[in-house]
Amino acid sequence: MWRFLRIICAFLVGFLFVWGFINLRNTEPTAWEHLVERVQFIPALLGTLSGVAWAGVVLCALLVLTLIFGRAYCSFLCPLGIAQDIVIRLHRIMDHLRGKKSAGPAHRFTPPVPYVRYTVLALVAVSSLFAGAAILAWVDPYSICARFLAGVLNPLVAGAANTLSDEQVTTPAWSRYGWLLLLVGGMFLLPLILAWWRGRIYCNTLCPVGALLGLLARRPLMRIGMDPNSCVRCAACVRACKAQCIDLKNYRVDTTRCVNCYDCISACEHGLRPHLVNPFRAPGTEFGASIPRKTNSANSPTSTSRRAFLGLLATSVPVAAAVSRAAAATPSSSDDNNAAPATSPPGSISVPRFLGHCTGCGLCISACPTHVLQPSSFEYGFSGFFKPHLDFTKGFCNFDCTACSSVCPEGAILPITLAEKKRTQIALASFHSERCIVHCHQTECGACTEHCPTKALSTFEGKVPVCKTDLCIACNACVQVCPQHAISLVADGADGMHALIDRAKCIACGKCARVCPSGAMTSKHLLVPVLDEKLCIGCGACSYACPVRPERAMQITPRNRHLTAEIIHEKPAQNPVSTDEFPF
Amino acid sequence: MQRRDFIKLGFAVGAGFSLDTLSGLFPVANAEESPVPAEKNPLVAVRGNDRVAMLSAALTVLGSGGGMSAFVKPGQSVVIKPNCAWDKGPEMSANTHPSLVGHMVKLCKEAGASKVLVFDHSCDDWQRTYRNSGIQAAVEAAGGEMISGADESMYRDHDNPGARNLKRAKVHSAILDSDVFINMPVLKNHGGARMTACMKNAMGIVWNRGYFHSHDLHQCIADSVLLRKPDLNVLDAFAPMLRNGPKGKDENDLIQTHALLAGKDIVAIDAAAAKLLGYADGEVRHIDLAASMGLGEKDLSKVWIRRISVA
Repeated sequence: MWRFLRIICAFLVGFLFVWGFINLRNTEPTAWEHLVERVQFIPALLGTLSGVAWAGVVLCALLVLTLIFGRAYCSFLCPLGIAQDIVIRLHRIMDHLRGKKSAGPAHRFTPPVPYVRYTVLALVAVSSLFAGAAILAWVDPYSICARFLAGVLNPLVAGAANTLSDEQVTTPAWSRYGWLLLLVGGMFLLPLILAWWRGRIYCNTLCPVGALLGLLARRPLMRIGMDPNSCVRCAACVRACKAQCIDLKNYRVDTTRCVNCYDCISACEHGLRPHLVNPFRAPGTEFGASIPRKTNSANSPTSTSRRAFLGLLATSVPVAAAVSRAAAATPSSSDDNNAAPATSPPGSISVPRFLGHCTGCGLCISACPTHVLQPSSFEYGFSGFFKPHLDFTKGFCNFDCTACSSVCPEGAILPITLAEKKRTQIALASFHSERCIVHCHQTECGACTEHCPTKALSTFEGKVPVCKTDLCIACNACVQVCPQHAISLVADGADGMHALIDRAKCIACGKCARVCPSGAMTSKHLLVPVLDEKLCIGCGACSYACPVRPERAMQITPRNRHLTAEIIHEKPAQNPVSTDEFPF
Repeated sequence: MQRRDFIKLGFAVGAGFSLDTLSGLFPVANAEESPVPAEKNPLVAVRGNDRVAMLSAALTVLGSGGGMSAFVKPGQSVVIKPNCAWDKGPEMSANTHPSLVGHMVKLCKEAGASKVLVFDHSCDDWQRTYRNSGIQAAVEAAGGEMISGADESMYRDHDNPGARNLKRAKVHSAILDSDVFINMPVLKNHGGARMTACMKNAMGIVWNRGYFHSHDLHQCIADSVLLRKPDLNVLDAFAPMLRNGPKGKDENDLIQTHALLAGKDIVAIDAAAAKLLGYADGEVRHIDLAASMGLGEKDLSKVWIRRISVA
């Protein structure tokens, strides 16, 4: 019954989890849609630290769950745990089909080696104190699994849907992760390979969440107990135990390693079952003092783990602190002028805060309709690996969208209303007229202003100057009149001098053409782009749309700390012609 | 001339819609007949308070009494190219109004179209744009098919020998393969092209729009009309965006014109539309360029215009 419950729950969680990363229709996500991503331990912990209320509730619930049942999270909710269970199940099925006597990974009781997992836990804990989620991104089991779905499953499903259907179903999203897929795949496959070989060995040696929950699960209220009076020592439970934590000699189950899969209960026909026990009694004494128990504590996880943990915590503090300081250094070093190495999504408040709370699970990357959110390698520096940044060559941030903030389970991208988002300046555009088509080719373009949602970028009726150098008499009139000091006289081979316009400075006022006595300087009436930085929210639409290559005329500078843009409300437009009659 | 002068002649057609009045201004036509002979290549300008009734009225006139069956023969495939470029709701007039697109799909189906495809090469994410513009729902409710324009694989290389700049472009297969092409834009201000109406809408049948912007936008817009001339143009000018176009900031950018223009002559419609937005002759360069290339008549005094008011 317990095992059945676990399988049902894991199946549901697994299904919803996978579903959450398939985003064929690009719909605005609802809170319920991503429930299973929100009940994960590390996201809930980070969310709580971000001050997200529901994350606090989830964290408390997970902690209470662990205190009552032990590491139920590891089998019921953790996607990486569920993935490992699937692999273990497959191994068992294959062995059955091959007719092997003992099916599945080689399971036997192994004495605890807590040093490794507590070292990992201590390093991660200390590094997180100093560098936030820099190291956490590499070890959080939820993120490892989620990233794989975002990087591999999401594009695979999108590609399959497009291939199978006559019409295009969704926008292809291949290779968002690029070479990062090697890391993403490796980090996901490692636990699975280990699981095939030795069950939940990853969860009990490398996973910091497993280690932490194990510390809390030393004496859960509802734990698996063996009744020595009915046990026949058939070892069926030992063979079934994925965590290899059943010590038949001492009739003990090591609850710090037990992942509550309840396979042992199903395997046992003689009395192994979860018990509600007196939490003040030592483990292994549930059925009275008659159980033989070694007094030597060398083998006992309790004392070893405590000693190991405290010792490691003390020794690893300086190491982890140094490493994490170095890791976190990159983004905050450029704090002075509020420029950042890359743009973080709206709702993340600032780049350092974002990097401190994000583990790069890729849920927002899967949900982003424009694909502007791309996983980072070195864009933010080392602490930004796998975390999303806005890549304005791939897309731009949709004005009427808050998908990333609605899905983020970690509070790294805090919930943001559409009205707030429309004012949040995540980056700042800059206009480089020396590359602009209107200035350089003297033809109208408007690609940038057409995409600008706030009209920070608009066009005005400008007069773009053109100099016919053969007519220029180098009289200096234009040089004198130019308010921007954009015109200079330059040597013209053997003939002498002519005027040269510096397009970077020109504001298309047309004064030069007006004063030119020789007719060399003329101007063309064109719609010329002009940028009002106060209104810019840094969505990158102008840069994405700018047709100039290789360097675009619109450039985007990421904001380290997000600012609030102004909004100018215009009066209602007036009909330019009478509506009584048609004006033609 | 006052509007009430038009309302002298009553006119009523079948149950689905009603035309109150219609009359011609110039050139002098005998005002009695309602449908205009197709060889006159008329431009129909409708005013009213209901887009769907206005469209029906315009098609009655244009279709020489047969409505859409003058344009769509039974069994033909139809592609409708609305302006469906921006992730904005119908109230923003950034896209063609969904009721118009839906009704056009319905009329094509009724005329016996084998299939009616609708697409745009959207500027915002196409799935959000299709959904939030309301166009997808309207098209699908009317029995049409909304297809993607967001992937290069759907576009085919197409030579454009008559063009000046856009000699070759990748054009959406639906445009190249369908029997009938209906161009159905919305009238808006545009920060680069000054105005977007029928000709600018043709830009959305091409994959590489960046080429337009970097090779004289106005000339490329005129050239793009040659890729495939629409069999029918319907311009939604009910609530045009007067400024901050083509995406718009808020509803304050809109003016209430309550107009709809329809016809085969793409240049004539755009020339008339420019006047609705208050542009002087010659201000919208692609209209002049298209006229000089012989794509249509920009001098409205030479165009057979039928003005209708629909109650």
